[in-house]
Amino acid sequence: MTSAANVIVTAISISSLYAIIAIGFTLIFGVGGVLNFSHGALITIGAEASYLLSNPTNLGLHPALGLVGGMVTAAVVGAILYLGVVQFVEDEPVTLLILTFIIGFFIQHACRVFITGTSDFSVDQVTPGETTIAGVTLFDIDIFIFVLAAVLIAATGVFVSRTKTGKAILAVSMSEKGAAVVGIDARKINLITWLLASAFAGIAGVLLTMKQTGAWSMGTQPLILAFSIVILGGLGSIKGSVVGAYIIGFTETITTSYISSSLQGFTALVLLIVLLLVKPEGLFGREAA
Amino acid sequence: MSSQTRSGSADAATASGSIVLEATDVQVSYGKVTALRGVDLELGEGELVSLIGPNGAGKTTFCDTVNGFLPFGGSVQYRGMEVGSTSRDELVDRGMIYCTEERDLFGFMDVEDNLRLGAYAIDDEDYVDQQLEFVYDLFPRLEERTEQNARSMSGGEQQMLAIGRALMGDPDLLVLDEPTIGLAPVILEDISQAIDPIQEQGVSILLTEQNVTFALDHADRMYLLENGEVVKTGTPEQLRGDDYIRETYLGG
Repeated sequence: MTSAANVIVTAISISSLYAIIAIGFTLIFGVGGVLNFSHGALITIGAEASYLLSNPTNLGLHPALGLVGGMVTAAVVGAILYLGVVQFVEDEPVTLLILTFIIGFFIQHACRVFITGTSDFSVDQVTPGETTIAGVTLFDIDIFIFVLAAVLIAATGVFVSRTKTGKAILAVSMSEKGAAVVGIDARKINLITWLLASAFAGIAGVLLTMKQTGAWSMGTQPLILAFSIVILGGLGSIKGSVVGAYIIGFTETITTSYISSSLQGFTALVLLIVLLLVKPEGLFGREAA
Repeated sequence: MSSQTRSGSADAATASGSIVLEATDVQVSYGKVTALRGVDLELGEGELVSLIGPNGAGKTTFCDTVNGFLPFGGSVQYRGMEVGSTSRDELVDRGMIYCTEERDLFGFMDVEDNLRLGAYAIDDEDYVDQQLEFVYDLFPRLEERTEQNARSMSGGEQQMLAIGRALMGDPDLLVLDEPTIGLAPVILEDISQAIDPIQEQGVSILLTEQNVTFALDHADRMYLLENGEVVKTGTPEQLRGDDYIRETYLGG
């Protein structure tokens, strides 16, 4: 059945994007203890930057340059956020929560006022076209998203478990004082985490725009989903984020395809509530890798 | 940074009796509570100085302070550097290594990863491998559990791991905060036997203890801390003969 296959492909592609969004969100929480509510705005920033760079009515550069530009812009904004704001209030979780929420809100509205207004926008796909495999026609962009996300997830896994800096990231997430006594500069590690997480959010923003369309408020929905995903997978767990992303992505795609598209975002919240009641520590608990 | 340079200069400096750590009139407060009231302490090259005292005397506060974790009044000099104006990474880089009472291990990492992260500030891979061997010789239990997660180990094994991790950082001054707390006598013996080989590496040690007997057995000099003040100092021989110490800390 072709339509079922297409639903599955869409679910995989969307889940892959949720996964790289959720990994960034969970890394920042795991390492710095920060629930970064501006994470959604970084998705918007990536999308808006790619619009400025590669939409034909703007600079009209190749979409691949738009993808790289969106990633870099989001990473730079994330680094500025950490260095300019977050590091000064790191020990005050409530202040941080409110501050990142307001800054995210502000960034998205700034995009609306100064860049794209309230209308949706689009960028060309890096890989336009279709491929037919075993009688099922797939959009090349879905394949691209799946492959790129898989590479990023695998690279993140190798980075944190095999490299010295990656292990230092895990170390800070497990014991800040332990990290300090072995000479790890937590500030530097936090900055690296913010760069990485923001870059991932930026990439996700560009790819979401390529797959669907972009809008100034496009980061809000993925932020809520990312929050659900990391709770589902266990806050601070990379493996949990990936599994959580696929559970949420599939549930969401199947519900909107077969029941009603008005249920978008709803099933994720139902899952979240059930899980918080049944297994509040998440599927994988508080394991940092 | 090079371990060779440091160990080499250690021998030379022992002869000249140079000072590794010098605390002068150190005061620390937590809000309105004063934890340290003008503590003076000196630790010379190759010495094991023990700071003893009851729970709440300020021993951990002193360790946190000399390692740059707390703001303080007075002066703490490590190898002539003022701790208050030196970053913690710099202190670790210069060989002041802190083994905390809480241990602060990386719970979800295995023994070997914990140990190797202890050498985070060291780039000399040969040194790291060699020191890893030294730690495994010192605590064979760790070598039997290289792939076990730190948090699933017993308290005694965790303590060995914490000391081992500190040794991986090529200490010049090792600050050991209550390493024997809550340990079974068998483990206490393992820790006890590790002290001499550590000192033979040219490491100076600041050891805080509630276990006065343990401190008496190992220290070159001792300071008794009560209510944030040093009330007695002396060699173990002098303190063993002290009536107050005998009655209060050695059970008469």
